Amino acid sequence: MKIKSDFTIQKVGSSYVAIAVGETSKTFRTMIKLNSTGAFLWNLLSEKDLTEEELVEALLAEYDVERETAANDVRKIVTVLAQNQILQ
Amino acid sequence: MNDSIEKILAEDGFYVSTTVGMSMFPMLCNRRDRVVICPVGNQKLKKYDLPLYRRPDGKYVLHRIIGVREGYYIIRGDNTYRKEKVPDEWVIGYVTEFYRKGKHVSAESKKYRVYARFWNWIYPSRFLFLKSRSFLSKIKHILIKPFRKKDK
Repeated sequence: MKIKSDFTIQKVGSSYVAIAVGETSKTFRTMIKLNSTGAFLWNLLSEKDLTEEELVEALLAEYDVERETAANDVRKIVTVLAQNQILQ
Repeated sequence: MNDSIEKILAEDGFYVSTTVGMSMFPMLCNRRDRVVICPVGNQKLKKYDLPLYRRPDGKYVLHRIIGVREGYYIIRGDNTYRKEKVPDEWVIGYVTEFYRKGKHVSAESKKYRVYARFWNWIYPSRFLFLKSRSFLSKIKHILIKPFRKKDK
């Protein structure tokens, strides 16, 4: 899975928000708030087509967390992105 | 899937969006720039602020305040020529910061305020430029028309 090219993240203060750009912004007005983990995964997915397992591995390499926690975080964020049809 | 901007402002305390349209060009360009909007609450905005308001037909508009009056604002887009009277209650938020070509600008920064003043100050010449252009095209139309007829 990968982030569609017409979505981007913007840092506002200390948080990150995902918004639509280009033509999609005409119809997609929702704003999705992301924490730093979410933004980290977003950046990976906007560059490369990755599986959930690969995201968990990347998270483990970057942050000092348990595998279960990382897997849960990935699951949560992927679900939100999928619900909003941001993934392709 | 789409929430109203009012709802997002109430729940999240701010709203980020890509800019739509060319009415605030050259400062903000269609889908190139991003604005951060905060709820307006009960405060009265200042001259040169950028309010986001909703017209009764449901359309969201982001233009510049060029006059502050009791109960309403006088508003005009940087790239438009018509003034609009906007009652306080139409205004739902205002721009606190924006990203122009990816560069961050605070709406309270001195540089930005100077720009806004300058743009408002040159309005008469912008207006004249537009009027003379449409006048010239009218003349062109009148002059060329007879020749076109001859061709036939």
